[in-house]
Amino acid sequence: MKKKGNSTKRGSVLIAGGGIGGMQAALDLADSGFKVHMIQKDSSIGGTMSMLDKTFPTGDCSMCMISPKMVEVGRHPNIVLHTLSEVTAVEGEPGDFTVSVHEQPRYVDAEKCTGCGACEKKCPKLVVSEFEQGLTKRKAIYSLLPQAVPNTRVIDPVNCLYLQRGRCKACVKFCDANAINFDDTAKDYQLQVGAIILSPGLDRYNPRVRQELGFGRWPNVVTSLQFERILSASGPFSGEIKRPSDDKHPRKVAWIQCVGSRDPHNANPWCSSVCCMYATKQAVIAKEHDGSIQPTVFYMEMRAFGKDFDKYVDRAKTEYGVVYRRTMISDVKEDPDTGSLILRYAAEDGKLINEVFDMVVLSIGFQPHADAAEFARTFGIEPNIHGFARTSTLSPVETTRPGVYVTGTYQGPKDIPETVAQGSAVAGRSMALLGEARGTDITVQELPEERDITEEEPRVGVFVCHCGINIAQTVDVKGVAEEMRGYPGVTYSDDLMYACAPDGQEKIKEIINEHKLNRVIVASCTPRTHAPLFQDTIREVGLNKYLFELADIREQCSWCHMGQKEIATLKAKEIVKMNVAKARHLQPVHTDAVDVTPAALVIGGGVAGMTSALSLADQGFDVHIVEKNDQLGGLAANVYRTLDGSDVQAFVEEKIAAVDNHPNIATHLDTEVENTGGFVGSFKTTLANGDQFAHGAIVVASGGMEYEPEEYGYKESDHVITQRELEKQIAEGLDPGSRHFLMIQCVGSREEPLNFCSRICCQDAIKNAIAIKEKSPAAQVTILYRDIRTYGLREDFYQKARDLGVLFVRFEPEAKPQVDIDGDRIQVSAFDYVLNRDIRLFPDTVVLSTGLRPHPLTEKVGKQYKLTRNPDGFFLEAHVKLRPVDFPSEGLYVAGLAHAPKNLDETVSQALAAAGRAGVLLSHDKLSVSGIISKHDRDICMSCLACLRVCPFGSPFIDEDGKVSHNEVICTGCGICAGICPAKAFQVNNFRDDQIHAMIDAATENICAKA
Amino acid sequence: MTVQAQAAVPEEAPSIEPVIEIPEDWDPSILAFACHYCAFAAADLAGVMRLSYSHNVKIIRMPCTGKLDHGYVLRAFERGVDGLFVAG
Amino acid sequence: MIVGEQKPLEELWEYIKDHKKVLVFGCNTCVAVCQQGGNKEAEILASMLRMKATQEGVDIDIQDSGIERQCEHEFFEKAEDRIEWADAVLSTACGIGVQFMAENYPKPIYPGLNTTFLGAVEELGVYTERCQACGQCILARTGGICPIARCAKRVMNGPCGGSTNGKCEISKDVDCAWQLIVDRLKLLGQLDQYEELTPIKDWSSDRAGGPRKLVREDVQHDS
Repeated sequence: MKKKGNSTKRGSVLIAGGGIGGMQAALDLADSGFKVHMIQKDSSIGGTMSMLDKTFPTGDCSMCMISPKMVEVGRHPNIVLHTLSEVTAVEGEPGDFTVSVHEQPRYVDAEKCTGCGACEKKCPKLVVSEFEQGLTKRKAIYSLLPQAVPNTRVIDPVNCLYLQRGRCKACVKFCDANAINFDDTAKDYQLQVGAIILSPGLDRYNPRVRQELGFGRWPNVVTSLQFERILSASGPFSGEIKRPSDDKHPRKVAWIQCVGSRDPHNANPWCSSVCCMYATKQAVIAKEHDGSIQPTVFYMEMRAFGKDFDKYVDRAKTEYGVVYRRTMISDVKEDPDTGSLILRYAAEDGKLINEVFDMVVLSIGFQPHADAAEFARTFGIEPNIHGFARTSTLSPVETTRPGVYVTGTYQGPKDIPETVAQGSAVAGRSMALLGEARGTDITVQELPEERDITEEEPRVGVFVCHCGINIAQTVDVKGVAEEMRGYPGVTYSDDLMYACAPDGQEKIKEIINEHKLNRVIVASCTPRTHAPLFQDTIREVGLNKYLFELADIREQCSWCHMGQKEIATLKAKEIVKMNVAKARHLQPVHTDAVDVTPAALVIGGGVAGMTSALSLADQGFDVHIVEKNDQLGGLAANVYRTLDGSDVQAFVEEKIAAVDNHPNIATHLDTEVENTGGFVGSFKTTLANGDQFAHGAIVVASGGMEYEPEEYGYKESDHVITQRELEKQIAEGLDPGSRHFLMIQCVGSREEPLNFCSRICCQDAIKNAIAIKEKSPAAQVTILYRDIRTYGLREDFYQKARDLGVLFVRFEPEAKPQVDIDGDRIQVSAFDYVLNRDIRLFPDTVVLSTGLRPHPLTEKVGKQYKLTRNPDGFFLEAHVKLRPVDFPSEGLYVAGLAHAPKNLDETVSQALAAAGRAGVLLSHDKLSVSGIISKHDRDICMSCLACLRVCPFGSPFIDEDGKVSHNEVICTGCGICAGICPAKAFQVNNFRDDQIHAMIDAATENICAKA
Repeated sequence: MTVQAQAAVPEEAPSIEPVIEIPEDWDPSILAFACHYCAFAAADLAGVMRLSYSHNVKIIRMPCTGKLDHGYVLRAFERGVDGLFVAG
Repeated sequence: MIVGEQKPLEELWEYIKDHKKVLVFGCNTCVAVCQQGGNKEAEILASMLRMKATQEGVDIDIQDSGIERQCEHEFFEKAEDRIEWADAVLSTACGIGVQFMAENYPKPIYPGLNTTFLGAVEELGVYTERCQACGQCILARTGGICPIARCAKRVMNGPCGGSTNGKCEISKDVDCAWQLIVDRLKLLGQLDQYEELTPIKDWSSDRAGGPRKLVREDVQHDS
């Protein structure tokens, strides 16, 4: 093996698990020059996210987001997929591991299989579908999901009639490609990698254990994952909400929370972190699918702790009429006449109520896979007491074995964006470990030379996609394809089942070659997600990728005109014609590349900034930290311990020392960014103190602020303090004696105008409460709270606090506790929902759990770099789910409290993620300029300067000749210049005037014909 | 853009559009110019959310509504569209 | 730069309504910079007139074209066919272009613009008058500010009695040119020039001497 320099490290990384976290890590690593071996137990990658219908809190379609990623992983030249595989042994050291892999036979030759599915249709054996959660059946030869990657079917040997009984072979008979191979055998082989990433994902609690809830007994009691499949347009009921027992549309639907979670007796003690939000999402989406549904969520505590989650729950209540009942369901019984379910619960006043629901959804929690212990042994890592990978708060993605990292739910329950962030984080950690070996194990993808089509007449190929039934059930797909056959410029037109599936793409490539097509239209879903995929496809057969247009007949036609087949078909034809008309005018676009400065600017020297900086510096890049204060450390300088007892002060000091001693890091204290010029890959920054440097990426870690309370007499009495002040006292040796500490939660949080959860305060309160009780059991601690949000494995500490005798009293925002101070005497009045009456408490100290605020710098930095912020003032990421640390502007990344309130471990994960993402960018010597930019024709330009005056990005400029020129690197292709230019000297690639005119003409063809 | 628009249609220009009675079965044809990043995404979202709207709206994707050109608007009206929806 | 302003559509319609084939013809230099008469504006205008024709139920074929500058012969060659085709032309050039075209084509050439002044582009969409082409430049003595173009009365020796707080009596929004001149001379330390009496201006080099002509024999090309 060829090595750069004298490194003994491998330029490959093994990723065990092909869910969204593993996929993110794989793409980041592969994009930055590492070879990735992805090991996946199932026959397809995708993991849990691919089973979900929508995602909270944006309601985005889960499959629409993950499918392009899956395809990208599947087609990435630096990623090798090992499906149906498991790791059996790991030997070696960080930088050089030998991993043994056992691969099950697929019995289908992936090279030959076209994914046509004929075999599946003919297979006589029906098997309960695991993917569809038992709601429907699959065949013995099948693909895990319609969008499977690799899109090769697989034979399930346990259920195959031939493999079990030696006869059948229907699949062999009907496979035109001769892809069935019953002689396939298991394989064992070894892989050499430098780092290992564990992303095996999760298992789910089996609700049969909780017999009183009736799962498995009453057909209309379903799990939340079954309900996802019920909601899914590609699920067993095509998105129609029906009861499994009788296919009737349910009216009243109940969600029962915490099934299998927060229950140390029957189930798992931890909180699964996501069920409150997914139940809310399911209730909202159900209501969207069928307005007559009346959702009720039965819950213990509303853990809407994430960014914009509280607002989502509020909207569910007010806009969708979702009813939330804070009570436990003691049992579920079926009414045998109707199949409906009778739920028994205690109302707020203590009365027992029986309420009838048509359908019940059990919000089942997460748990490690059944073989988690074995898995940990195989990889030589230690599990924690619950079977998750053991990590620490301060190094959340490192397992106990160096060089082995963990991401996603195997590290602890978490949602998609945090999993994705950890995916980038482990990629960043691996890059830091293997830095110098980057690029040593990969082969550069060789693309055929682009065909010169400039002299050719347009030969447009049209591929109309069924998208399963997503399009085909509403639009007459074949009719559309037929109509286009006679349309000017169209050489070929036909329909495809799934254009985006590998077989669909192969077909497109074949047809391009066969018919010498020079323009391609796929009529399927939105170009926003799928165009890049098809662009790559046509590039692989030598067509410039800008000779492609995607006609959106799903989102903008079949999905919004459901049940109107004739109208939708007519509209689909018009949409396709518009795109063909445009395509006739498409021209190849050639993009330039610019140099990348391998250095980063990190704004903010807190934990997030230092963590990002260290990771980037370890990856081999120069880093400039700019910190406004005269010392590093940020907010964490006031924190002493984490919930699990880690020493934060020592951690911060260690980070500061590491930053100070790192040869690649320059720290600029006591100053701010004056201005940054340039563009992605090539920025130049001047600081207020006059320092100047060049860099290719920017990590914004400008931090947050602690809220300074006005309420509850904080300013009036020394007996009213904040959690942070209490923490300091504890660290300095406070003796609580037998004093009474009363803590009040949500001070300054979860209320308009700042209606967000600060996420850290419940942990802080419980951390301090435990410290007090452990030091002095005689001390009394009462916590007045709205919801205790000790999500994930933090729940252990909530349990511990209760075990230590900490009292918890809930209040509602409408009836907040009243604090009356009279000298040293404090009286706190509140309403106790358990006792159902007013109570009065006389604490010695009132401790306020104050929330977090965006740092004032956030606004300034936002303006400087044109970054948008959410209504609460925190930075808005590029995509809530799948791009959690990217900004929409290229080359900028976000980490820490600048993004949203979060705990220290989450800040560390996110900071590593930002460093991983920035590392991907900085690892390139050159950066390709986007193709969709405005092209300036200097010959017809009369330098009237209209463009220069309107361009928001400053890309037109007056050049050395005194005429207008155009800097294409910072051009975003918005086309404002093209709209204003009186000489029409600007044309935006792929949005040229002739192209848009052609679309307008095609769109109005029918009107003109009528007139 | 507004400056230019005002210049093209002087303020004092008399109303040149006579008001026409709208026939009951009128099926107006509407063309939308939508920004790739927001309004086009919103149209996608409408589909994802299965929101139903009138079928006679067809969308032309723009890289940004700043790309809109007088020429597009006039061409569309000249060719008989009844309404334009510019969203971004 | 020559600044022009498009005429109201109604007026233009009156010119062309009785023709059958009308060419709206742009001039892509000065009046394009002020976004009134360039080739793009000609295209827009043609479209608006076509719609007007449709609304009026009149059958006119209205096309558009344009050239770099309508004040030079050679540019017209490119559009010869289009001009030939039309039975009337609506030129969106300045008055120079309209006349120049009319001299060469035996068909009605209508003005699409009111040629307004010689001006500067203060910002996108804001154009202001600076020069009246009087033929006798006095800017050297007036601190680079022209009292002929910028004083409503064209007075030559200091402000009139209508100058109040630096503004002209015709409008509070109009600077008094002489105030500007005095301020500028002060800045330049040339106030002594203000003391010098400017003799009565010889307007023979202006329009008063009839249409003007400049011949450069040195660059003239014998043909």
